[in-house]
Amino acid sequence: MSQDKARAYADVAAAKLGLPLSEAELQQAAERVVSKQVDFAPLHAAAKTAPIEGELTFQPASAQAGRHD
Amino acid sequence: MTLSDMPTTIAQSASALRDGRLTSVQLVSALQTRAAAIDPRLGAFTTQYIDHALAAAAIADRELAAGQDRGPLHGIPLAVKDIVAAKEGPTTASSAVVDPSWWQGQDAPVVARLRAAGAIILGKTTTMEYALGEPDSDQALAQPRCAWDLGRWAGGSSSGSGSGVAAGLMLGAVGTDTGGSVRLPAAFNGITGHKPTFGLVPKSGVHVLGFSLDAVGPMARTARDCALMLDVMAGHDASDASSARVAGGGYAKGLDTPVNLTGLRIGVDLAAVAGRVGCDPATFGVFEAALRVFTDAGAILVPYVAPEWRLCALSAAVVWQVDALTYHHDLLRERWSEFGRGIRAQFIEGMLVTPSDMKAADRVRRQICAHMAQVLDGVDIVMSPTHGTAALLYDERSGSGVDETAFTSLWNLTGGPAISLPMGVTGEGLPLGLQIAGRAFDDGQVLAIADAFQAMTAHHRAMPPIARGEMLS
Repeated sequence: MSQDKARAYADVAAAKLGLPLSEAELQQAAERVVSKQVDFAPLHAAAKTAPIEGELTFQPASAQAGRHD
Repeated sequence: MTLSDMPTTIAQSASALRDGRLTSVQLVSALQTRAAAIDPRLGAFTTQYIDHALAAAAIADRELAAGQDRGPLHGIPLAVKDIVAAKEGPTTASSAVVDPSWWQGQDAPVVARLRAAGAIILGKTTTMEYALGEPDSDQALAQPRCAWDLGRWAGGSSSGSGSGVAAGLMLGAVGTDTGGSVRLPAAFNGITGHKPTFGLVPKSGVHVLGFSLDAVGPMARTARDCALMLDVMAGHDASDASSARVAGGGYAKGLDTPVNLTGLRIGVDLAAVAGRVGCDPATFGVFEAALRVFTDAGAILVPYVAPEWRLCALSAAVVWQVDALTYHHDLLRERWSEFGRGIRAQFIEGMLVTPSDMKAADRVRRQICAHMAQVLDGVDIVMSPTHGTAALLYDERSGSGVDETAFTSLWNLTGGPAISLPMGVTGEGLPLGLQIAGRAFDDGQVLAIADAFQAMTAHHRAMPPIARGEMLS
């Protein structure tokens, strides 16, 4: 992704949330847009598995033990 | 009374309060005197309730003298992480962005329970801003330092609870843990900190970091003291939708019968520990020595394959970054520039998380939970270091917090209980933490095994230099 596109993405993300980022923070965000693609690659790779039991009704392990409401 | 004469644990102090060697007022006064001397350098407290605490201690003494005994925490001075509401004053979250109306004049249920059990609330302890930011010297707020080396970070986010207990400013403290925030400061400061099973301790009146990750837990010098606190803190409360319908309690009584370590199956992944980010050889050696304490007592090491640490840490971080953004949304729009640099950077991280990132994190979390449920079918307990090194130099944090949670976030993802306790020291004499974790609601077993380790070792008795030799009135 080009730096311009990353900056445009960061601009839109901040605007959608209404966050008044400074110019330096927008620049920082643009840099993170690019590096996050690398950071999150292992997460996306690991997530590409067959459907997981209980996927639509997930609760933490303590809840799965049937001891929650 | 000198520090060497002073009880250093809740259990010892409870005994001294009952046999007339000590009053709660003396204990509270002594700790306040010590805090006045130490805390300007240590940064454990955001606020001290000096007059309130002394008044409460006087009442506790009168009640004990009249035969009204509220239990082991009666007259015991504790502190509370400053993201948890206490009626004495506003919750600052170590932030310049404070909403004074939030739980104004009220106790969070966990604080109300401790108070009803006779505990004396000394004050609030420092945290990373809203449990998420990072030490920010630009802000005019207390900067939490490691009790063993003021050039190092106390760990987070229950920073002051960890350093304050270690320095002897309080006998126990309430912390919260979303990715390791009870266990890391416990490890860095050489104390014991327990992250209870998700939902065991109510979280109403506690600022949210990760809705499905947060746990409120006790921090103290020993596993027994943590058990005494958890006995009071645990149990259902209808004001918290994630509160489990369990009674809790009985943890300290459970320690009265020594756990049988013969044949105890300890799950370990030594290859993962050795290869985990930043785990230095000294830590690995101390961890192996800690395992030998258990195997010498008859326990069996069972190899297992741990989930890849980065997947655990990333999965948890995505959840808490997005949850924090959601929880603080309105304040962020209105008061963005008043938040510190570190937490703003974390909010930006959350802002950039895409829906597919969230879905990936969620699916990976499910896989990790399913895997660990299988692992825990074959072992009684799982052990690892709490962190790969001793306390980090003050400016050495990774920024994202992801690297720091390499060993700890797994147990926030699964919801299972996990404790950190001292297991030895580095060549520089800095404490290292051992993490013991187990199945959901097996908090009693985790505490019992930690207590057994402390019965066989003395690491938990070491006091940091800053606390030694202080004269107490």
